[in-house]
Amino acid sequence: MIAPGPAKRNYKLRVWRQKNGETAGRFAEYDARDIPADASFLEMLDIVNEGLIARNEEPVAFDHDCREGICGMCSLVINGTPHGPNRATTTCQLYMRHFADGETIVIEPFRAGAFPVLRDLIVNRSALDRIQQAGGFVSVRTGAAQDANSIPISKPAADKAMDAAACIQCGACVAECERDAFPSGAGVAFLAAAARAAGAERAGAGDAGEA
Amino acid sequence: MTNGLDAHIPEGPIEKKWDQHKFESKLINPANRRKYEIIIVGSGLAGASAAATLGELGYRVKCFCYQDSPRRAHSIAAQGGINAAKNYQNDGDSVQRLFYDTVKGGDFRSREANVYRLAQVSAGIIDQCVAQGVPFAREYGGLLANRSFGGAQVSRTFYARGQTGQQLLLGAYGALCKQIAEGNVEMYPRTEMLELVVVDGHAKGIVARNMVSGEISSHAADTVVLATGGYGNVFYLSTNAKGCNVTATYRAYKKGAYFANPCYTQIHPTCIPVSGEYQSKLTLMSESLRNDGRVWAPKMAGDKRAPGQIPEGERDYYLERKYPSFGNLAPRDISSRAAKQVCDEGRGVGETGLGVYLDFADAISRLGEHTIRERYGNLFDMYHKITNEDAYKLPMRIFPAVHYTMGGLWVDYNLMSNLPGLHVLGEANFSDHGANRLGASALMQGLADGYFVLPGTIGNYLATQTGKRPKADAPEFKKAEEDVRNRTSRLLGIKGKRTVDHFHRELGLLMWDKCGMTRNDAGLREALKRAPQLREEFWEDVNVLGSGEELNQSLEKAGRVADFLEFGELMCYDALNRRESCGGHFREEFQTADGEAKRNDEEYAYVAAWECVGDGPPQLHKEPLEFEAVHLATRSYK
Repeated sequence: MIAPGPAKRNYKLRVWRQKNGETAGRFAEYDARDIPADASFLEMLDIVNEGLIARNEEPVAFDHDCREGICGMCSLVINGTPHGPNRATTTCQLYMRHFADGETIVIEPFRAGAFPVLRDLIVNRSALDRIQQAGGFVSVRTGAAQDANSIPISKPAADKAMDAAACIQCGACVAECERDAFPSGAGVAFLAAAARAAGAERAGAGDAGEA
Repeated sequence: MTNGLDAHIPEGPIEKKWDQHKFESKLINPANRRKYEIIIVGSGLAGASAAATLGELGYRVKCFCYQDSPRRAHSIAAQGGINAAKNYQNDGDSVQRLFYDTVKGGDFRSREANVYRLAQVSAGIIDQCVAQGVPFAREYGGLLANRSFGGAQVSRTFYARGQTGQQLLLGAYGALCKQIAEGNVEMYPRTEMLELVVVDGHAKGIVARNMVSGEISSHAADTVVLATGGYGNVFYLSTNAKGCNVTATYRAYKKGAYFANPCYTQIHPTCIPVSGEYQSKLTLMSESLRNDGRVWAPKMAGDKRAPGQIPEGERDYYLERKYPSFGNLAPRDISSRAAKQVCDEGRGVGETGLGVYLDFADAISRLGEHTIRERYGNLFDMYHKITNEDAYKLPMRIFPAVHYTMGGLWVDYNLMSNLPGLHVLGEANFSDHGANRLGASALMQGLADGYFVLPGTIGNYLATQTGKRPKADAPEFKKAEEDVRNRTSRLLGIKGKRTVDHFHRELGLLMWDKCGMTRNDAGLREALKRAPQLREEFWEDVNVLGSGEELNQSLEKAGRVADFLEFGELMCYDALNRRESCGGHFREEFQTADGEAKRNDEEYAYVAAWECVGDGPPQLHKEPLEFEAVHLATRSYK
């Protein structure tokens, strides 16, 4: 949903600040002023951070990298929802045109027992790597593969495998799951199952005879 | 000027070199491999595939990345595809043709023997990835599908929707995860290499910073492998991830590794145009879109009509007009310059006038929206999210942006630097793409280097190094740690008025202006004057808050920008020295009557490898390029 409004907008931010994993965190309030509606959510935070540094206040730490929706690094909870209000949209692909002028925006880290906060909005998601290491791969030695076209795979099966493999492993599902229903890390168990299913799809791409 | 560069290219006919070299290369017996430790910095396609393969062979590997997981390296963002000489389409492809296309695409500034090997191993990459479960696109008959990319007249590009890099990286990441689980690879995420350690003239380790705790640690090994990607972020705005940086390769340069052809940068023609000063990065729209999209601009300068209001006869499909045999699939350097030319003539579109159209109307009426959605759906979605425009209804607006860097650390045929013990893979080295990389060849090179080349050549070095691994508390490590700590406290102690991003933006503008899509003598000299001033201002007036003993993103950025500020100067030296135009390096003084790049093979058919000499200007070393298998020719796509 596009929020109609001026080309430059003002917001009130409530941002989670936490020095490190050992200390308690709290919300801090900041004004975000003159934010272009075409700026991304992370660019809005960049602008706020530049202002903080100018006042000799430490900038808000947040994870981000590719800023094109594929690396899975960005990980904010925006107004209570991981990655904010838009469906299938990472934080970095969320634009300020979706937020009305004058709105208060609450920004938190992913909240999950499996994802301890490292600083401000940054969490430790190494649990996701451990799941992959526990078996989320296809075992094949480098250089031992047969010709790629020797085993045809039907297009529908390949497309399905691609759908499953497109997960960016951002962990939003864990943050969402634990928030609503499973306070004790059950989100990760769910994710593990999902990852295994995805792994099976990927392995399935190597199964014979579907075409 | 000296010529101490021996690329160690094997003797014999080009098609036999790699097989012969593999046979003659030294092997390490399986029981002895566990006695060798290998450090790999970077976990993208090159780093992850090398770490997985070397771990599988039985070496003890430590792999470092700055992201929170190896799977987030920027290879993940590669969209369009990966080339391989499979000739599955029976359209005349072969190893020889992929080799030729790549040498020509690079404007005859790459090393023949390396490129031939790349084409040879390309087919095996596809086999490997399919076996790993990479869900490449398929035909209804179940066989692998292909599409075309720029600079080729065959369909040899394999793809997984618009997310090919992601799928290939997940394959390599899976293989890496297996080796981590088996204990062969020790993974260090959120850890940044800040110094290369050289002991007795050999690269034997690194100093790294834990980005969560701030802890500085030393790691010793028998050899160090850098797979740390390119330096496009020297321009501030690029299609690279925000964290991509030159620090690892630049630190190696400062320790004696030569940096080759730093001025060769690739400006990609199809990116979403800049919309304002707040912009933090640029987003690529895959070259694959040019399979079905037609590039055009209004014929008339200053034409502000909406695209739909401009009749067919008043549109200039300039790529089809200028390059009829390759049309919209002209290579990237040529397409980018053509777009710039159109905009310079006042025919650019969009609010800024810095844009041209990429139009799918014809393809949609020919194939239907469904087919276009199936081929490029995620790209159209991304375009919509960013611009709030529907490219199924309106043509996309696109403009060139910095995308890839062909230059990198100099390596020989074994992928080893002139600095013994240092190996360099993927975008971080200079070896295969000459002055311009063809689309879908970066993924090919990253995986070729990691899966097949380095595992075949690394023994040549390791076999000479038995028992020579230093301890991580050797004086050289202590000294390097001290250098890192000093640099950190210096950055934190300045307490100036301007932010790191402020300096980065200013450097980016300077580089884009003087060392971007086109360059000239006067502009480069100006940049060489301005860059040191900017660096001085940085070290006097940057404001980096917080401490070194905590998670501190400003500090991370400051260290990277400090290196970019020096590195930008090196690029300008190289661009100034190369008094010719070739590929992505376009010197305005050297062009043909119709505005094409004018090479000077007599004087510049060499790799320019730069040596760091204290604080003075860098020293040039030349590796002459000899062309035996292909004839030097004027590159034409007409």
